[in-house]
Amino acid sequence: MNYTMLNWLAELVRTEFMPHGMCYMWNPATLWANVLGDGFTALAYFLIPGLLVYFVKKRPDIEMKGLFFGFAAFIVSCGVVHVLTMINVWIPLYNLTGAAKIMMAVVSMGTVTLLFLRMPEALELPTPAIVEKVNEQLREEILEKEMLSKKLEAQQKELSKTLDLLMETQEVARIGSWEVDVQAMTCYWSDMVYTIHEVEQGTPIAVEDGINFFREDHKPVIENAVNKGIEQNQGWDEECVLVTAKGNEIWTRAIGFPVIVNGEVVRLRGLFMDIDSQKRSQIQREVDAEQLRTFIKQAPTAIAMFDNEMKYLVASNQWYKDYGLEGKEIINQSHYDLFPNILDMPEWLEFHKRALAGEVLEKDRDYFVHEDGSEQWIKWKLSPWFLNEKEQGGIIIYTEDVTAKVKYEEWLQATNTQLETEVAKRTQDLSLANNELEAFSYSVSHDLRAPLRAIHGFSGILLEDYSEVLDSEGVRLLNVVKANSVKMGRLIDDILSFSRLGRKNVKSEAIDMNWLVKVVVKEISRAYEDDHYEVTTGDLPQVSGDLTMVQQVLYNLISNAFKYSSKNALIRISVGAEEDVDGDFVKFSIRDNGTGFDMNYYDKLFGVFQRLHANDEFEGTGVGLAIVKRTIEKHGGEIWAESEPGTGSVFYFTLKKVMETNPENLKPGS
Amino acid sequence: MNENISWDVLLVDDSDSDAELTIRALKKYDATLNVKRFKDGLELLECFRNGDFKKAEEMQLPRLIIMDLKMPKISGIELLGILNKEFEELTIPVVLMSSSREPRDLKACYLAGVNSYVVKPLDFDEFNDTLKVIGEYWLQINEVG
Repeated sequence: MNYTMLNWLAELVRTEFMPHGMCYMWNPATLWANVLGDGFTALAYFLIPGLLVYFVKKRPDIEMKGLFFGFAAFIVSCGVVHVLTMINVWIPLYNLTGAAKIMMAVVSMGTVTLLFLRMPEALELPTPAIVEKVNEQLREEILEKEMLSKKLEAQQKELSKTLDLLMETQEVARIGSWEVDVQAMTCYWSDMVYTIHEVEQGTPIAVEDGINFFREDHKPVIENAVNKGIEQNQGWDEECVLVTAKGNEIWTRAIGFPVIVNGEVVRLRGLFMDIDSQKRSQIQREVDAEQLRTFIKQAPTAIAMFDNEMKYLVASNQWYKDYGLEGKEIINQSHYDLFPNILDMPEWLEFHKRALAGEVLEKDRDYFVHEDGSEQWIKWKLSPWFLNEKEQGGIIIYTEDVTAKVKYEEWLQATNTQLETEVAKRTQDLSLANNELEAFSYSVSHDLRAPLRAIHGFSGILLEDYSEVLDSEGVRLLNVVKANSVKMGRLIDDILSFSRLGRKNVKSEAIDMNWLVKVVVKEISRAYEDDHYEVTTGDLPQVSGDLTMVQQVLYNLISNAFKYSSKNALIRISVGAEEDVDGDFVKFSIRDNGTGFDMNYYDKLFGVFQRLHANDEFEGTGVGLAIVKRTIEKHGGEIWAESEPGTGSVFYFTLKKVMETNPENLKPGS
Repeated sequence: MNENISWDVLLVDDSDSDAELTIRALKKYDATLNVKRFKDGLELLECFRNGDFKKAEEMQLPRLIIMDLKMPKISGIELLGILNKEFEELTIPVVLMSSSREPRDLKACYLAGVNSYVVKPLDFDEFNDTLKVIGEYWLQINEVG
């Protein structure tokens, strides 16, 4: 430190001037007013920059910090001047004060310069209101951006999910994509398209090849679509049958659209899917639905199917006819719109409601009287039909006009009652007639025989007692009288047994035919020499019938066989039987080697009092075979015969088999 | 009526021819037989009611009654019924002879208490033979109670 400097410093603190209090004349009021004013001002001026610096330090975002520091320095220098002014009251450091003032001026001017320079910048500083507004906007923008980005994120996620799904779907749904380069006419196929065509992956495919895979009848459809795509910029969506490389026919769906660059179609691209199973089940469903519709349409009864709102789904032709709906469009129309009068029939509305709630309602006969007074009987049924296990689809109504049927039944009943009365009356008449007939038979059997006995008897007496008077011719004549009376007696017996047969009830018992034939043959053969006949009998099954009556049949037939063969040296008779496995009857045959009969007169064979042989030749009344026929027919069987004159005859008859063998029912001998 | 005759057989038959044939056949079998004929059941009943067959102590009761079934006024069956009812002590066997072979007639006669039912044969020889057998059996073999 040199002297000059020391000198200058000394000069600054020179105190030989009068203290400034002198100017105030030491007037305490003036003096303290100035001192205190300066003092507090200085205090404030020192505190302000401190606070400013503190503020700036605390707010790093504050702009133009230099300015604040400039202000701080300027205010501090003002404060120094005020301190010195206050000191100058007592100690006259005017030089120091002057220097401080110069300093203050310099700092002030510097600050002014700074202010001036930074003014444009300061002017641009936003006011807090603007800042607030801007901030608000900013916040909104930020929110919006956040939202957008979230949305975008979600979309991206969704997109990736969709993409995954698409890939999976392609696999599962058998969807592939393809592209055609129109210039080169080459195809690009995705793996699935190859799979659908059953062609090895990556095989080069020309457009023509692709089209050739379609079934002949569907080829034009695709060709047409492709041409339209190229020439008219049109897309397509077609369902066609494809014949795969392995020869399988499958339904496919081809979707295509042109890709246009500079107004020209450069590519065709699209999707290709295997829809075979869906399409086939759809076709099947359509067929099923059509079948069902046809079935209902053609049903010969009035039947209609409704949905839950009583709208027609389908109705049979008969329904149209019965309800006067022919030619009308009723499908999807409400039943109540077509027949508004039902709305006035609460009972029917209730029935519909109940059926729509799942109940089955029906009535066999429902009586209606129409406005015109005509009556009608209707049979009806309401039943629900279901879409699935839980959901009802609607109801089915079935109606039938049974008026004719009811009338017919009424008529039938009336007729039946009338018939019953008539039958009862006729039964009574018949019973009366029967009684009369019986009285007649009784009378015949008794009264006609008595005179015959007298004729025969008295002829006998004549022959016995007057033989010496009678010549041989007289004896012969009396014998003729006797023979004829005997014959008439036999006729009466036969006619009586024949008429008795008609009234007789046929018993049903198991008959051992082997035994019965033996019994009958034994009885008949008594009249013949042992070496005159030969009877062979096959194994005869049991039959069901009336023992006495069947015995009569066998007696008549076998005795005939004997009688008509009796002129042979050896009578040959064979009795046989054939059992029809499936039928209920056994066929018996009785064969002889007798004189036989002429088949030309076969129709007279079984007639009453009809004979094919003269009485001189073979005796008989002509009732035997009539009795046989009547008996067999009463048993439900049949009888017929075959013969050749001179060779013999065969008589066939059928009798019922024994269905259940019950040994207790069997007649003796078995 | 000759009261001293003991009747062996009582014959009830409305037919003269049948009656004649029957009597002849019986006589042919045994010429000593006394056969009394009645034209119908009422005649027979009258005799019984008069006690004609009980008048003399030494008189024997007839040993057989032969009757026809179908007769005017009362039938054989009705006659049987009345006899059984009115003459409980009567033990003369009754043979019914008829032209009828109707099962219901047979049944009715047996139920009415007939002792035998014989169908009158149409043939003269058979007729005689039948009556011979009847005579042999009922008049010789059979014991009357």
